[in-house]
Amino acid sequence: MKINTQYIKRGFELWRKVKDHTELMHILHDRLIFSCVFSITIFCAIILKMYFIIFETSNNVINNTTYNLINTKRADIVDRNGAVLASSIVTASCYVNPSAVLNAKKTSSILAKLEFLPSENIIYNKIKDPKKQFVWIKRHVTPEQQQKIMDLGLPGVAFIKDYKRVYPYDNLFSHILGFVDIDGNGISGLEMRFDNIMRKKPNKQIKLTLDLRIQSILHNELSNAIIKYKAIAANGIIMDYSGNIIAIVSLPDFNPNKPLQEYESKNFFNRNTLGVYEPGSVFKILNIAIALETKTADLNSKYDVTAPVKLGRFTINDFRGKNRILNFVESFIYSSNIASVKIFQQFGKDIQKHYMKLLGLLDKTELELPETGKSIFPKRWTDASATTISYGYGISVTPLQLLTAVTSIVNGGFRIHPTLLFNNTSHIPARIISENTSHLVHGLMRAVMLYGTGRTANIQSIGVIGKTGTSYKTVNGTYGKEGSRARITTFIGGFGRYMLVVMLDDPKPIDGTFGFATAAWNAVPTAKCIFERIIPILCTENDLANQQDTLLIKYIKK
Amino acid sequence: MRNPVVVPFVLLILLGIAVSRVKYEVSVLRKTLQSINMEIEKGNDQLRVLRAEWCHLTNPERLKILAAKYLPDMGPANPKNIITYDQLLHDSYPVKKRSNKLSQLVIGEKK
Repeated sequence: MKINTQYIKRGFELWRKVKDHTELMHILHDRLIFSCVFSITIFCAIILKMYFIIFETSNNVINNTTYNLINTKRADIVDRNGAVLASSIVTASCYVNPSAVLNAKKTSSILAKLEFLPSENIIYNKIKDPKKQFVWIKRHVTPEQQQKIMDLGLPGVAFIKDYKRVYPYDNLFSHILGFVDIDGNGISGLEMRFDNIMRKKPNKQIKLTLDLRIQSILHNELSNAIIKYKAIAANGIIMDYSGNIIAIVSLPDFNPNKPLQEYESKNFFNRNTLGVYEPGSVFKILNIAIALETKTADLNSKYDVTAPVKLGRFTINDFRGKNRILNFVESFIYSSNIASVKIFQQFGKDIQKHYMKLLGLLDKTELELPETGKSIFPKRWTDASATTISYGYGISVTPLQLLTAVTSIVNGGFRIHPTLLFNNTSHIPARIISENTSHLVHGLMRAVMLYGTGRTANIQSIGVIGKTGTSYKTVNGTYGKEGSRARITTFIGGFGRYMLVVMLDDPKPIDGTFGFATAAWNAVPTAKCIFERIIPILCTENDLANQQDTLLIKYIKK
Repeated sequence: MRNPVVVPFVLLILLGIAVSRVKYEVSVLRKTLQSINMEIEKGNDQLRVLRAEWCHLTNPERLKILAAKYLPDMGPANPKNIITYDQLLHDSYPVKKRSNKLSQLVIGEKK
């Protein structure tokens, strides 16, 4: 048999090839794994990059839009009829990014040429450090000013949308609304009291009980009174029988739209809620109410006022006294101090203190304002102090406390809690004085307007009630020398279901007042001017019908 | 199937594309929502400015001056102008004549 070597050779080569192929396969297998791992890694890297592109880009978009806005927006404050008393409006604030500024010296000199911007040195000191990325140049520029800055075309100078708090009625509600700082934080008044709410819910409104029209009238008439009677200050409140404050003005005041450095500290002092004053004869309203309520006196009670009352080293006398026996009604109408002491002596100091407490005169003033004062009264309620308190001395209360107490007596006898918030139902009025006593006090206050010190403010068709009071101001614990004493004159009264208190600080005698500067000559005419303007707005038909003009006339001896 | 990894891998890719797509659409919608909200905000801000301006223009002190200038024959009501309905009907009350005239106007009578 012939062996074909050719086949053997081919077989051998094939075997060798197969052997080589296996090695090749091994090599190829390793390379394939390597390229797979490599591809997957690259693919993962691409996926990861895509993820970052998608997510990071969208986050950046959000950040960029919010970056251009400083959210100092606050809720509007409106009056009872929806008039805007405080609002946040959009403005632009100018800033510089010093790292983007090409030449700090040149930029500051160009910017300083605009008169509404700070001086060159100030701007240069702010922007000279190129490491900084943000410095304020001017907050709340007007659109016109913004355009002027933009026209300069300076790199690194830009604007941020910002909110500015504005008060469209300037001074009119200054003490109530208060004001905010440049970053929109409430600093005083309602702005401070409701700061959180106003910031958290900027699109809501805070509705007040105040009435723009009445507030304007009160402000206007008190301003006139300061000029006319050369008083150093004046204040007044108008409240309804439920405790809703319709108007509240304290002068001097301030314009919250203007820089506050322009004003003295006295302008920021809210005399209605923070100032405490001895009320004087208007406190006799409380004295007679307690006497009638406790039945220690009635309209026929008689008091001998011919001789003064001795109290230690002091003598209690009447101002232009009648020097005869007065009945209860007359003693109130002619505002006899002697009779007041005698009325008080019949019910005593404990009952007096009890009613003062009930009427809220021994507590802190209640109101939604941070600026509220507490009354000053003797720590030990002695007979002597209680005696002077009976005619309005020896205790100092805020005008708001005084008005609240008197309103609680004449409104039918319900203790009210003053409020500035519309539809505030947090307090339910509770009865503290009987309806009969309330009607009698109302009638007696009407008689003061007909026959007593309030005659000049009497408005016949309406049936206005009132009581006057004049007290001396204490300076360093004394009332000062006779003849040079400064007075606080007060009128408290009302019509329908509205009550008013007017106070003038140190009014002077003027032509036509015959040298007098007591409440009847200044606070009462001021109240009349206010009544004449507010009655056509607030008066209802019921107010016209509820008159008691002739009820008490038989008690008055002319 | 030659390689069992291929199917999940393809599904993963498809899922990735779907998620990216949804994410993209959401981001577009978010941008639209943002712009709408910004429009609303802008509208509210403009409204606030206009309202504040209106209040400034209707300031009672300003209106008083304008009324004195443009309505010289008119003035605010006085408490004396206010009477009850009973007073309106009372014979001796001076408003009687005016009320007669008023009733004429209302009823349409002519003397």
